[in-house]
Amino acid sequence: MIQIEGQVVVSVSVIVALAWLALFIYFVNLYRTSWRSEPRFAMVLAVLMLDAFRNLVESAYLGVVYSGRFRMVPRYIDRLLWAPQVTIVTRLLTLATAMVILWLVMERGFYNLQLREQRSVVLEQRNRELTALQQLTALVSGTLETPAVLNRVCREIVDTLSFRSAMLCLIDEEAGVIRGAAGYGVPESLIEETQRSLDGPDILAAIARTGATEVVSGWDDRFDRETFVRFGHAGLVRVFAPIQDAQGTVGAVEATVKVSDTLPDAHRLALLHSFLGHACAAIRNARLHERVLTDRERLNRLTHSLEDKNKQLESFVYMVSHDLKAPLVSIQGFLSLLEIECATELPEEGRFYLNRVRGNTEHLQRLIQQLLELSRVGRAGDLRERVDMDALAQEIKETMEPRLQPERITLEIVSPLPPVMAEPTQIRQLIVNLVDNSIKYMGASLERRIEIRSEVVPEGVEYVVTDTGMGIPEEMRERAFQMFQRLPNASSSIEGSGMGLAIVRKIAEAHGGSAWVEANPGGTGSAFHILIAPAALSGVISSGTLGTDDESAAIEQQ
Amino acid sequence: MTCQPLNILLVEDNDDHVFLARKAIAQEMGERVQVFHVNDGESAIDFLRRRGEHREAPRPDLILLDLQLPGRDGFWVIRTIKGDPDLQVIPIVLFTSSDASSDIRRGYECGANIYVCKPTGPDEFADRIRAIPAFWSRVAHLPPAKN
Repeated sequence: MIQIEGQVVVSVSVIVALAWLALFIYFVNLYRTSWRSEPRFAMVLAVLMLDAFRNLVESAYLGVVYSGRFRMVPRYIDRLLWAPQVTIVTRLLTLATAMVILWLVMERGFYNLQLREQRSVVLEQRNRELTALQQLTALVSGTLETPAVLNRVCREIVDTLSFRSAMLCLIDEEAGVIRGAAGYGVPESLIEETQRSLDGPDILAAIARTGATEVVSGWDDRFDRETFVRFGHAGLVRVFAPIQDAQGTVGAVEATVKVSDTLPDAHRLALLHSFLGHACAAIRNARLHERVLTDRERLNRLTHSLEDKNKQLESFVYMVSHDLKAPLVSIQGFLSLLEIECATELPEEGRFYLNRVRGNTEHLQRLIQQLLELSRVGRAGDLRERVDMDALAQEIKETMEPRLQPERITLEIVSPLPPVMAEPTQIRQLIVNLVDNSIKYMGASLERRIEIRSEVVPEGVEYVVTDTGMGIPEEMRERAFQMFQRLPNASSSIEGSGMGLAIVRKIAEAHGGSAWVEANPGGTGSAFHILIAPAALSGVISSGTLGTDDESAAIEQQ
Repeated sequence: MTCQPLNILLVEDNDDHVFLARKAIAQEMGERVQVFHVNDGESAIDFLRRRGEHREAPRPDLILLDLQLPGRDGFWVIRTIKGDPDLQVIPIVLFTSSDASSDIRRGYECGANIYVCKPTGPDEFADRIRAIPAFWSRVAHLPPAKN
């Protein structure tokens, strides 16, 4: 009975020891493959591994002890096992293992944790500094006047980067110097006095040239001795850093701390450097902005003087054409009298001459009339109202019928033409001039058709007058809208002042639109386009008729 | 309707226009219409108020007034006449070469009774000037004289 019990106990011990051995080998293997990847997991594995080893040893020891007790091993082995040394060694081994485990946990876990904490403190500090840097960069970039930017840069160097004072110097390429421009915690007189030749030995010039940052404590041979003494620079650590970016250097900064202060470390210098990079961009920005402002001011002045000139010209034309009208009235009056009262007394030749005078007077009258109309486009006040373009086109068609019929020209109106906010007499003049132009230049075309239609485009509404006449060669199309321009192939029989299209364009522009001519896409002839901006259409076109509205509605639906 | 005799005051600085106007009116109306002429606005007011050389001037039934005058312009003349209780009833015809909408509007605002543009077309001047006294004497009722 006892024999069997002894065998069972020993067998169990051996099995347990083998199991621990297997586990130990498994952990070792696992540790070997994974200790690099995940330190915390590796640590746990190491602990388990050591524990398995300790248990293995203990199980093996117990197994041997029991086998000794049940006299399953030779006596001397049993005696050996009960020797106090062996007992102590195994206990010590277990203790050592436990200590190794403790050490492992401390080293890998606890210290690690501490390290991480330390790191996070540093990271937090860096983060704070970066945020400060970012904020002050934003502040500096948000300022657009150069002096304000310069002052801000100096102030932020002191406030955020913890220097005692900062002076900013800018390079003046033309004068070949670098001179003081702004400062914070620096006497005004020092800023004013600081002016060094760029080729000179001074440290500021050297910084501007080389773009290297320098930290100088106390005296340096490149300093000006008199300034050094007068402004008490002896007790200072001075950092000289360039204001530069990828495009080059615009100046340099001198930032100081006292010798007794925490001296700027590499990290703080790097921050300063980085900040000055942003400051450089901000300074360039501000300068650019200033230039844009002066340019814009100049442009404004120019525009005003042009507008003035334009007004003067318009009133001049108005006055002149008015003054021209008075003698014209007289000439016409006396011509009538001459014809009525004296024509019979004139010989054939005299009557011919009289006719020529009459014809020329009429031409003169048309010229003056057109000139007046042209000057009036700019002079008319805001007498705009809603103009029903369909009705207007119809009325014009009826009025011009006596001129259309003998020429066998058909005038077609493609309704509906959108209404427009305009000066009624001017918009009428515009359409009349276009139709008149088309009639004049119909030439000998077989198809004799004029069409008035409209197109809704994203920019507004286009009114288009197309004809099947002789057309305008491409290189002449822009000139056609200039004053006193007539087509080169226009025979002298075509009456015209050369102002009709100039008036058209001026009216269109006075209504915030534009006028141009293209070839008639339907064949020969021209297509005159008048674009009227939506501003002149507001209130007269229901929303949704314009393409843009449709688009935005479609987007909204999505 | 019978033709009333008319005294017209023509305020016009262009002598040719004066000549043409006189001629056309005489052709149309003959002796029934008398045209008096002054050169500028101040003289027109003197004429109406019978001052200076115009002491013996008759009271006109109608005033034909140009806008562009030497010195004070036509607008001043209308305002002066319309501001005078004694003269304000006399109809004023603005007869001018300007057809600017601003001038037309201002003319009526100042109190002109009719605005007529001097036409620049052939034969139109005489036709138009004839129509004015014809209308005022044949169609319109002129303001009656005070008792």
